[in-house]
Amino acid sequence: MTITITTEDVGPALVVALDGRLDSTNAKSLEEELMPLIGARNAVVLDFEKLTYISSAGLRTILLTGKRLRGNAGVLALCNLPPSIREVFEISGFLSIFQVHDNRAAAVEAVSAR
Amino acid sequence: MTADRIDTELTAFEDIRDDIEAFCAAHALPPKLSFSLNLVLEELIVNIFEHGYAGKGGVVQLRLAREGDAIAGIVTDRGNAYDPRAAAPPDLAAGLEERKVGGLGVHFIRTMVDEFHYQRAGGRNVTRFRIRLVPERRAEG
Repeated sequence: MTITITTEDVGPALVVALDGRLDSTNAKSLEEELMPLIGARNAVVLDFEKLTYISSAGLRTILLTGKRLRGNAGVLALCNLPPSIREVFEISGFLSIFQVHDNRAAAVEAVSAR
Repeated sequence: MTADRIDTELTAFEDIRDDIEAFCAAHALPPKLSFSLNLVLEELIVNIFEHGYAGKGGVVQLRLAREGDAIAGIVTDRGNAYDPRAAAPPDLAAGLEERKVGGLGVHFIRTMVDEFHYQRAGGRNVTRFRIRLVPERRAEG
């Protein structure tokens, strides 16, 4: 099983839903797929509802996405973290460097209201 | 090889990704434990290819079995001496701009295993770990 993404524009925000597992075998290709989509945008939400697994290689991609948004003077928000994914984010200290929301609407509002 | 134990050689983490899932299913591991086992193995094996073999390729042997109330793993390689336990801990307090991902893999392993041993013997790195199926109940005070 690998990872697929679905994108949707919600107002000014680009919402990217991740489906599958994000690991060392596909993190690089996700990064290559994601960066052109983000381009110069400054409001991006990653929806993790269907993300089943993430390793440090996947976290690197999330971190690079956050840095890209920062470079665009924008904001990245995450939402719908399943419990195991949330635990990995907590252990990593990533909960304190990213905005994490319970649902997509809250995340979209947070990145749009700027 | 049956799904309830793994004893194999691999040249990339991808080679055993599905076998690990099958192992977790064969032992009906709860989702949290299955996640931890996947993570520990991925981080260990990816580190060996990256550091022990310095990205030049090599063979990693993996043995994984249930032993009593724990899952026991032994990972062996012939790469450069590399003690995963010696990796510097990540700076968990760094902000977004200065944050690096290096060191997170070993940090995950340390957090998720109950035992973590390493030895260099006969030109091989041998890393052993155990993950208990039920968290140890420690007697209070």
